[in-house]
Amino acid sequence: MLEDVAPTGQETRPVLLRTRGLGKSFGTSVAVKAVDLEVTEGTFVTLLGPSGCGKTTILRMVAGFETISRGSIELDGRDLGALPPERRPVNTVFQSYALFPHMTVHDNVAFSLSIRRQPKSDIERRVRQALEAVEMGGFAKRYPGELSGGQQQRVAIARAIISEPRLLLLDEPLSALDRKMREHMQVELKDLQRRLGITFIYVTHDQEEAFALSDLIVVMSNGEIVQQGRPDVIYSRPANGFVADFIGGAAIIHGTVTTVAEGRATLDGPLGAIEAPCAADLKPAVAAILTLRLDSVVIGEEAASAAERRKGVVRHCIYQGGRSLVEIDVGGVTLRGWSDRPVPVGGETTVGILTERAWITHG
Amino acid sequence: MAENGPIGWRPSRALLALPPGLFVLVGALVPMAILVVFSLFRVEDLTLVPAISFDSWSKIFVDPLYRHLVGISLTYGLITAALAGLFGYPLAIGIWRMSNTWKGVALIVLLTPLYTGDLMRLYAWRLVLGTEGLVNAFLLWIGIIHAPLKILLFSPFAVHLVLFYDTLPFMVLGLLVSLERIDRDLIEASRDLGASPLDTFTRVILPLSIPGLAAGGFAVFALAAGDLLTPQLMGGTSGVTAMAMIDNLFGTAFDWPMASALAVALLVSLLACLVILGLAVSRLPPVQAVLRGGAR
Repeated sequence: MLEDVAPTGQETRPVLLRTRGLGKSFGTSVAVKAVDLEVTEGTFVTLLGPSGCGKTTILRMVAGFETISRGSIELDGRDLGALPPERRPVNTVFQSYALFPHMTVHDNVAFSLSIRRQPKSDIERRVRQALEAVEMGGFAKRYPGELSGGQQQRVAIARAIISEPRLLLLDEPLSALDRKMREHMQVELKDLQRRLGITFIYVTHDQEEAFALSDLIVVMSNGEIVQQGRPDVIYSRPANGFVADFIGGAAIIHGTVTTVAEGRATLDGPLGAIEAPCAADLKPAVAAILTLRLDSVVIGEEAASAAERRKGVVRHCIYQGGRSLVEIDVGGVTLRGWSDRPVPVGGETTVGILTERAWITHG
Repeated sequence: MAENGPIGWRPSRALLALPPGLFVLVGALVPMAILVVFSLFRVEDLTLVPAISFDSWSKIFVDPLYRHLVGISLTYGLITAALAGLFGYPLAIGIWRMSNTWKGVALIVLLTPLYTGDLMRLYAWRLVLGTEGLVNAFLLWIGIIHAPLKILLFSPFAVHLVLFYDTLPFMVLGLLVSLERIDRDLIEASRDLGASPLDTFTRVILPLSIPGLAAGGFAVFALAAGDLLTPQLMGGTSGVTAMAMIDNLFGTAFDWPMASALAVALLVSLLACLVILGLAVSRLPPVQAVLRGGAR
């Protein structure tokens, strides 16, 4: 699994941010346990997890808004622990945008430069550039209250990038936007990150957003990293049942591992014995799960060529234009997959399992 | 929504506000009207004679005494507002930054003086500030002074001190309302963008609390300028303000027209001060942003 962790083609880039045993407690409750995280320069890293998993707390410790209870944070090899937020080469885009309501868009964006007493002409030039980078060039004289949510978000981003931080932290920045605007902003954020070459750490609970944006996804649960890897690895090779379930869309079948050999295992469960690729550290005779994504289940004629076939009854068939999403009951287990043509509900059909796309892992 | 006007606004809600609104309006306007009418009356042989006479008003404008008295009242108001702002601000910031539990305790302590009666409080101050009071006794005991300080009581110092003390809660409450409305994210954003705690205060917290400072300031100004008992009981000879004069004219002097004219003159002066200050404050950019609906 280790070779899967580093994003391809970036092994040569230096590590920008490194946390060692990073932990945070609020009184007796532990928000972050002991997180070891490495963020390579120039990458888009997403901390993904349900609310309360500690992802925002990690971000706030990196920004300097929370003290560290345990462990350390290094940026460029320098310990950040003792530095107040204003002295960290890190800027944040807040979920609430946090634009200063009493300042114009221009003054908001110029804030960090005017604090550092940069020459006025320099400030004007860079404010113009930053606003143009987020397509807000014409709004310099407006107040935040006169802007829409999407426009405020652009200003917040311009304000955060104008000082060219080493690292940009984004705390669920798109969650307050409507779906259409959110999808539009995802494309722009990714594009902006590529153009600027700034390292992004992005916090979200939205797995689609994480897949759309990230070079590396760090899945968190209960203050711990559950899995980190490229989006496609997280998707097709979930480390355990939590990741498989959280990422969604997979059928999870519980069973017992009977044999393990050369990266493949056989799982005995309600679907009978199925052999598929498996997690590296899986042992025989333990409880495990088989995860079946939509693209590893085939229905109808296609099923004939699949490695494993089962008989089932069609429960639902949802036509989605060009193909249909079919839900089949196989001896009490619900499987979902795509069919080229609609199939009659209530009819019996053959389900094929493409075992090369299936995955056996810890429950 | 477009038919019903702004969200949540219904004519029935406006009707709900009508009875108390009327009460406030009538309660303010009727006594004022009576004052104006009285100010035009005349007093002959210790009886009030209905007439249209400008005797009292001409005295207000001609006799420098009345201008002086109104001036003293306004000065007490302005100085008290300034003192309350100056010392109330750090206090408000301190309470604002407390945890919710301690905030509750602090607010109770802050408001405790208001639960006691005016007179009680003033006589207590006499015990503290008098020639044989606590402060003098303490200063004598540690040997800083060798004779009791007379300036502590029956002096402008005493009036300012007590007015400041009495009105401080109103300033702090006004400020707290404003401070509580500041999104904590804004403070973190400021630090995140390179501002030190001091820069964050001057550029973010202070500007955004100006509405509260103004509200507290106006309340303190009006309370202090219109206070009767404090200057009278604490000020000695310096305690003769417009209010004291009005009290005297209505009471022992039985010159209701003069008292009414002075009361109206004081009220108009107070309002004029508030309007001038209000206009000045409303020109400040942060307040402009609020007025334009720019603030959240």
